[in-house]
Amino acid sequence: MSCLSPERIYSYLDGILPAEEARQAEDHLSSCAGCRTALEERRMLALAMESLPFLELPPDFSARVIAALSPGRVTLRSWFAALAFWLSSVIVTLGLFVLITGERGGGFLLSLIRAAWAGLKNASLLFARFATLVILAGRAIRYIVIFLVKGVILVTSLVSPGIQAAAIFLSLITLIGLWFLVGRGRLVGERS
Amino acid sequence: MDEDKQLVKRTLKGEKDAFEMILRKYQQPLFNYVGRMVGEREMALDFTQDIFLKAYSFLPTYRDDFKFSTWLFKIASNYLIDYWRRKKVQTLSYDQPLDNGNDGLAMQLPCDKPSVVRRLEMAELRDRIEGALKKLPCQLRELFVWRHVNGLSYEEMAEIKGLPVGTVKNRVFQAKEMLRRLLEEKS
Repeated sequence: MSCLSPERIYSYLDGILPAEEARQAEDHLSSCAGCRTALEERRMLALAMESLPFLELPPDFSARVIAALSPGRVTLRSWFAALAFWLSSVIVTLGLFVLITGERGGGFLLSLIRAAWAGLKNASLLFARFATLVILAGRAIRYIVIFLVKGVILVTSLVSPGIQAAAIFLSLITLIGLWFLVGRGRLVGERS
Repeated sequence: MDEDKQLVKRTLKGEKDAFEMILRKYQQPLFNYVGRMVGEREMALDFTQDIFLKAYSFLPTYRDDFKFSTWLFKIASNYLIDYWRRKKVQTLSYDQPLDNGNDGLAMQLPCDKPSVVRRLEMAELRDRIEGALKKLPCQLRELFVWRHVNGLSYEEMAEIKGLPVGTVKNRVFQAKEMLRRLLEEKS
């Protein structure tokens, strides 16, 4: 058997040579001082490579990363807790107000309900106006679309099919070009 | 289900301390990798932080049929590829031969001159390896670090890079042989 190639030596050291090839390599090593030296050197080198030191991290590294994280997702339980806290605060505030001012609780509640009702009426009015505005905007968009469609029909009736095909081809080329340009700027994580 | 996957699930439910546990587990391996890839400490710290932030934001896309460490190293590897691309560092394809076809594995054994490995103390040898590592092409350095510093298996590396296991093994052997040659040249 001829001398071992470096690839075979590394495979032998990694223990990934098939059994028969490993046996042949050992036979050769027992009779070839040069290959034994080469194997020993690579074994020592591998030892040094596998014991390279860790690079030192600052002790506050993980705290720094955690601080840089965006606020975490809010769980349903947190939402309920927040709501319960808010409601209890309102009740306590109202109770204190009634106690301090000496107003009758019933009268105070009645005026509060009246104020809330007036607020609701105003809000409904505002919502109705907003809805009207949205409907008008919808109509305007519809007229614009109809106008554009009619315009396209008119243009296609005036221009020959050859020119139309060329225009479509050019548009496609432009779109593909833009897609490539945008595609090159993608973030690394989108591939992972 | 393994510990990492449990921690990912808990993080996705909004438990930040679960992500902190992931962070504490992987910050050192990731920094060892990134640090040796970019060579500058402060930059390596910023990059490692960015990679963790990216991993956190992409966590909802993590599929648990992947090993978490593999997924994390893949994000890190893509991050570094983008960095080299921005820096216009020439990167090789893994299928491209190195050094005009002289891939380091073609050379014949042995050599009569006493090797640098025998002449140096272990600590000095490690220092020399760190120095020579900076001269390896990025792709070879990446696989070398994964294998010898992070202790990844050939199969894990193949999964991260989307390459056949045989190609990865071959490239790691090339990296080692090239490194050995650089050490011999320097001595």
